Amino acid sequence: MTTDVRRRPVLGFFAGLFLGLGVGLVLIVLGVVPATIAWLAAPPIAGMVLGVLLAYVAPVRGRKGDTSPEPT
Amino acid sequence: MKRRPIMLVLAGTVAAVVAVPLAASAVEAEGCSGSVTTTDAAGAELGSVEVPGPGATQADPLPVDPAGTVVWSGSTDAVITNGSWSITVGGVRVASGDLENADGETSAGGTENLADAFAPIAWALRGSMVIPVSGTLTGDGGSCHGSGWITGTGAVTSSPIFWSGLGLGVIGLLMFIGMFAGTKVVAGGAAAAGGAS
Repeated sequence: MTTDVRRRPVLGFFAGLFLGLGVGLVLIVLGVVPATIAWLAAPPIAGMVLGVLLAYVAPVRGRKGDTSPEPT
Repeated sequence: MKRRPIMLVLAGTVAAVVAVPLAASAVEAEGCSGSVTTTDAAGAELGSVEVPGPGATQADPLPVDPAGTVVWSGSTDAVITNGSWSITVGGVRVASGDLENADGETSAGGTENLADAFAPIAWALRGSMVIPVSGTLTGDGGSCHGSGWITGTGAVTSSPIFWSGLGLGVIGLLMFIGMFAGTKVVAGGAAAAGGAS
């Protein structure tokens, strides 16, 4: 039986978008960074990029009892 | 390694976006002068600044109460007619218009009641948000440009923007957990080709 790795880059994209937007808003409200459109945009962009990257490097969870080698 | 150029482009894009705001923190006033005084809801003075002059910088922003008032006055160095004006907040133009000035006046002033302002403006002025503001007037006879920094007053937790950010952050974290949990070995070829989902 063949096996594949299911990764979720789209989910990572939106996870990074929401997390980045949230972190950006909190940092702006706290006055840590100035309230400019650039600072509002930077964290979501960074989050989206990191989210997609993480989706491709995230550790793979194998099925119970599956001893087959991880596909490359 | 076809992915390496893509990674470099993405990293460069992020670095460029982050670097932009670090380079924009100058305070300036050209072609005009004036003063701005802010008060709280009870009428007590919160801060005052002369433009040009010290204060209203990013490190020492002018406090503004969302339930208070802003008393302002200003004059231009020359008579400016048939021009246009604009106000930018946080790098975004929020108001603009045309100026005829048929009477040839060089000064103006007024009191703005922030309690009547658009709700998101009041939200932004709760907490410690540091906001760059600037105004420009250009027309026949000269031009005027002034800029400075303002900040809100009150507790950060009174700002809906703070709670919105916190909520979005929690949603993002939960989605990340789902992403990690969903990265797994599956049988068959259904999840091949990257498993975009």
